[in-house]
Amino acid sequence: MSIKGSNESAIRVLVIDDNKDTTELLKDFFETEDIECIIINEGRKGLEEIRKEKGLYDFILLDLTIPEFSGWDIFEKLKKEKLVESKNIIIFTATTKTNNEIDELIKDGVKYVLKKPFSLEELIKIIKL
Amino acid sequence: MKIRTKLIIILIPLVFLSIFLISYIGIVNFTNSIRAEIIEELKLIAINLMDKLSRQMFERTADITFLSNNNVLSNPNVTLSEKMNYLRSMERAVKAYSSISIYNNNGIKIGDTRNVLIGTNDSKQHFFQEAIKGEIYYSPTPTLSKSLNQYIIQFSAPIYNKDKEIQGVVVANYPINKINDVFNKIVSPHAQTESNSNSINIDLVSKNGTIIFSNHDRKSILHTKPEIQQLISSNNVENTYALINRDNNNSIINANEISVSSSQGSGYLDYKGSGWILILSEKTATIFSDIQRIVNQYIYIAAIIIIVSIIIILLIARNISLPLSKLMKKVIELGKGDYYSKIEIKSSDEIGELAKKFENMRKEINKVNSNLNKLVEERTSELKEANYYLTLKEENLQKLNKELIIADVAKEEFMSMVSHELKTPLVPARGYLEMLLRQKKIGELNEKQKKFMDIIYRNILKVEYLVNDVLDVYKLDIGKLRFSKKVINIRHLIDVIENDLRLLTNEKNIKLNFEILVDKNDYIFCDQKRIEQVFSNLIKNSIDFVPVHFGKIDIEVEIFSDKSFVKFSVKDNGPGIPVNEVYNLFQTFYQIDTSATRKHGGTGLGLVICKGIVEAHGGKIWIDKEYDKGACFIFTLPLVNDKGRG
Repeated sequence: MSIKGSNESAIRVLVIDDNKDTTELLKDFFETEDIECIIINEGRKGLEEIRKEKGLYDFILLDLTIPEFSGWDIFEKLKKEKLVESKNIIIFTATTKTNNEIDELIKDGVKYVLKKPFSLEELIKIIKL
Repeated sequence: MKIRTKLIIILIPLVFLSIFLISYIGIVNFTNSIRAEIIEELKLIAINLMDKLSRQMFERTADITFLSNNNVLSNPNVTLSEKMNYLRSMERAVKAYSSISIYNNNGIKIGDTRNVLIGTNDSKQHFFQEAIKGEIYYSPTPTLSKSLNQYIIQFSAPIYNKDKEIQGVVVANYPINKINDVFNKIVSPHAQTESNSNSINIDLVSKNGTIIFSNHDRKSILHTKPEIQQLISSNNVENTYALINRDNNNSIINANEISVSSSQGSGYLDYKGSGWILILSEKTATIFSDIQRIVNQYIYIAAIIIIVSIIIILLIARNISLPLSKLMKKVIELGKGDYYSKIEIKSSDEIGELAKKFENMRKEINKVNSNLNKLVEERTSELKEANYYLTLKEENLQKLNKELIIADVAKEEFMSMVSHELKTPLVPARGYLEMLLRQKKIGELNEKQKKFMDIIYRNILKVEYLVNDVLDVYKLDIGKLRFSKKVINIRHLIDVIENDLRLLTNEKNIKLNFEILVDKNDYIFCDQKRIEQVFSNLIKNSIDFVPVHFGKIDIEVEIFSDKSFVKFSVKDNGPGIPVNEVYNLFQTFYQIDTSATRKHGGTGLGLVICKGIVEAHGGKIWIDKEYDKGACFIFTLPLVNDKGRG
């Protein structure tokens, strides 16, 4: 899923989420906003992509609740291997038990935690800031 | 110090002292009385001897007096030889004279019973001169008779005829040995053996100090001894028996002698007395030899008494101290808590009594103790039982707790899952609606399409709120609603809230007034998002009930006078809340009028969530029943002092 050779100046984001409707929405949305977007629906594949192309993406959009290899696992690896700066990670979450865990994320340098269902306006504001 | 030691220390010197005192007094008294007795005895002996001597002298005087007036001697018709024979027969009968002589008036010895020195002229001799004068004479000191070769005392007397004319002189020679015969019969009563029989020294002394007779120093006879001279001159021995105190007499008489003297004062009839002094002395060593023996025996006896006393004292001390120390040991054991060993001391004295009392006390203590032990055992077993049940209960509780924790975790997991499952589908729904409504790039919608989409969008938002509310209430219910509290400035908080709320009220054309009476330095410790949620819930509630076009909401913020709490009031001009419904309003899933839900929307969960949030912050929420212009919700939150945690 290389996007090499495309417009160098465009914003590139990587979306890792297992919900295909959500990723489809984000793909359609970013298309209208002229943002290059790569979608990955599995945790491990997402991590491999980041390891491979870490310098390529301006933002990583990461859903926490993914079966098998969750967003938490990916985040831990990113943190441990220092692959991506935490401020360039945008976290999605639909669970509510994780108030404290979200505090932990913020402590680790994550700037944006969006609670599902988030508003697209909110998201684009963050990315285009 | 132990009683035993004390007794020994006190009693042994006491025994020594008493035995010493008794011995001393005894010996001194004994010695003194012995001495006195000896003196008495010696005196008696002296008197007795003197008596015998006087009798002898008297008899000799009587003999010579008899011869003086004898018819045979004065008769001129009797021949000299017949006279001599007569005298010899008398001499034999009397057995007292060594010889008897007859002198004529001229002092010539004309006859002698021994026929010696006949014709000797003794006219110058004292005995003749006195006798020729008509006196009966005896020599005061013995004279040595050369013819007889012995010391003699001469008794002379004139020979009278019928006409009382002196015919001559008769002389009887009395040998001193005869005196010795008198004294030889004297044996000291203290002399124990034959060799000691002559232990009493006898000295017969004439008035002028010449020794007439001595049984211990024959050579001194007719001589004088200076010590005796001094004795005679220093003591008045004329008529009394005097004790010569050996101690006072320096070197005169041996210091170890006891002496008495007796004088022959006056005689009787023709015997006028000789003035002789008899001195008896006895060696104290002899006297006291048996006393010494007695004393030695006494010392042995005393030593035995002392040894026996010491043994008795030791036994008594042991007898007293042994039961006492035994008792003491027992009492110490008792004190240490050994109530079971019997106190048994066989003694009839106070210690035995004490031991008996202690034994009684021990029994009592033992009784009380065993009762106590029984009681303690009972209580212990009761406690054990209770403890067992408690442990059982605790185990059950722990089990229950574990189950509860597991259940809580399960509940939380379930809630998380529900949250995820409910919210995830909303993301694409909301997202695409937003895109349809706002993205110009995908083409304009006509008015009708736009209206329909708006309605769908509004309802999706409502579902979102509903899902959030339901999850919040669920979390409150299981105690899992979490807060991330920070110190927040109240004014700043109100500014944020005002901005958010105006969006809502402006949309509905409702007047929103703020009256803020707080200092810019007033802070609360809270989860800002949750407090915002409280305001939002209350405002939404009011928005639903205020009249369309004339709606009005007043928000007041003020601080308690004691600076402990901040009070928030939300007042509207809606229909208000019936008094009987005020309590139920904060109960889960309750709305005053279910028809109102249909009319106004809302889940009935908002106030429950508000109550949970406010109470989790240490505040209170209630409805002001006095307010009659509509509904008035009031809640309080504790203030933070000096920006620190309140």
